[in-house]
Amino acid sequence: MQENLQRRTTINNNNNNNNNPQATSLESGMPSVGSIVWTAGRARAQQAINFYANIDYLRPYFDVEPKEILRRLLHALTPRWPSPEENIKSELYGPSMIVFTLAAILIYQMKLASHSVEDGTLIGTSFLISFGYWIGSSFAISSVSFVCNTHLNLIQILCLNGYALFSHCLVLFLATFIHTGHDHLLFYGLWCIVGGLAAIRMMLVVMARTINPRYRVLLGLFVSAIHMFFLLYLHFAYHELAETVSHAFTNEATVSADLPVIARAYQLVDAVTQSQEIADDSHNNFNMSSLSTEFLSPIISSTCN
Amino acid sequence: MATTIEDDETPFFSSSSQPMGMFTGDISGTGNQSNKNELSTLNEPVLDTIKRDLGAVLRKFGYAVIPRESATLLQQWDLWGPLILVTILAILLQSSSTKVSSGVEFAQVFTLMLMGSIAVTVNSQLLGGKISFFQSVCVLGYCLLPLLLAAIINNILLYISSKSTIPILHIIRFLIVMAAFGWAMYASTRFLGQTQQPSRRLLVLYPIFLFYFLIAWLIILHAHPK
Repeated sequence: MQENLQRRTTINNNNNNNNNPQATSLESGMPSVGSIVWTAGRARAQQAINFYANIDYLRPYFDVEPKEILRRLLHALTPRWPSPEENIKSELYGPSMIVFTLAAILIYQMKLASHSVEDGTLIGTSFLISFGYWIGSSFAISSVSFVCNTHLNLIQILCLNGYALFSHCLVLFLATFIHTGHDHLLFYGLWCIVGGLAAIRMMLVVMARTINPRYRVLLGLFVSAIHMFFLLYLHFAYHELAETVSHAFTNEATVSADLPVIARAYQLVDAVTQSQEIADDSHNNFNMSSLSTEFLSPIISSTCN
Repeated sequence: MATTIEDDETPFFSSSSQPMGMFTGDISGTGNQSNKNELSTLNEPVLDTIKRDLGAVLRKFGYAVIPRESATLLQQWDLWGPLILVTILAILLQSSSTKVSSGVEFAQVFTLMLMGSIAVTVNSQLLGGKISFFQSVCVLGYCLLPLLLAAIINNILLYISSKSTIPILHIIRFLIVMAAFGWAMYASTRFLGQTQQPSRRLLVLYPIFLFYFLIAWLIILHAHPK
């Protein structure tokens, strides 16, 4: 099958090369339909070739070893003032994979919370949010740093921003899988500590490359503000179930009962965690340890829809 | 020498003795072997074509289930297997009873497959490998077979658990899906990992790991439609 496809494309290419660029019909000077189609196809083929050329342009930024990636991941959470001679050799593999992981975590969270999207799919939304933030915020930081005369180019900012998103992945992952009695406290603690560490690291790198002290402070605050607010947004927009569950643990009344699954999840998790005292028929026989309770509570809540 | 020059200068519509032979010929081909093969498959009975293609698809399923050292999946890729598997998986993972969102959920699995294949292909090409988009769709799709079997078992176990209350079933479900995930990961590693240098193999495998992990979690989270 593949051989046939290749033969057909080579035959088409040969035919196209032999044709005149704009064959006109004999009656009038108007271009014929065939020539219009051929010109459009040629333009599209050139666009495709340009796309592949762009991939080659990105290839040097994917030249890394796994050990280097692990080292950079760890350093993304350790703030230190970079030395002047240190040169950030930017690469884009680590940031791309971190953004994909963030998109996967968002998909998982949205599935858990039965988040419904009217236009488009869940997966499209999460990819758009993750990649959109990474590229959009990098462009924003790049523009502001251009104004502030910072010695960082776009690729370096993309790399820095991407590795800082590792903190977002970590916080959301832990906040999704660990449901304790103090969900809010856990999230805010992680937000401050892990998010804060990554924000400070990014801030210090950016500040070290800016000469003017006033611009330095401005840029540093801008960068860390974007970073921290995005994590807050991700949590509150896509993590409804965890919030409702935490209300259930502290026996507060829930505000939003629009989605039936959340109301029932409230009942079920309440039943499970108040240690077999509630006579709920389908959950009386669950006698699991607390760790598996926390781990499997999303499964239970989604099973009994 | 002089005769060849004469031949080159022969005009198109000349009336000399030689050109008439140039315009007659056999429509069955110019003696090219592959040309003959191509035309012969058009003339064969439909049943033969179906048997041959079905055999190729089933053979590839066999390679996905019992991974062996073979380049068949990559060199003779086809998209029938991925289409069948992804369609069945999308039907199994529909949980909503309303008509509106069930269509969206059906499309989600296809979207995930598309995004995953694009990510794996672009990543592999940027890391220096030589794999095309359709080859990666083929390998990722065929290696979905263990996860599909786990989804079928998952649905059966959910049905059983809705009739009776056995708590251990949830743990069994989880273990079966995780085992299928490991199996799918191992199978695709054997095929896609070969296209890279050894030191970079882990870098190529990470997106594949993410893709299968997401599908495994979608299967585990799936609830039986009421």
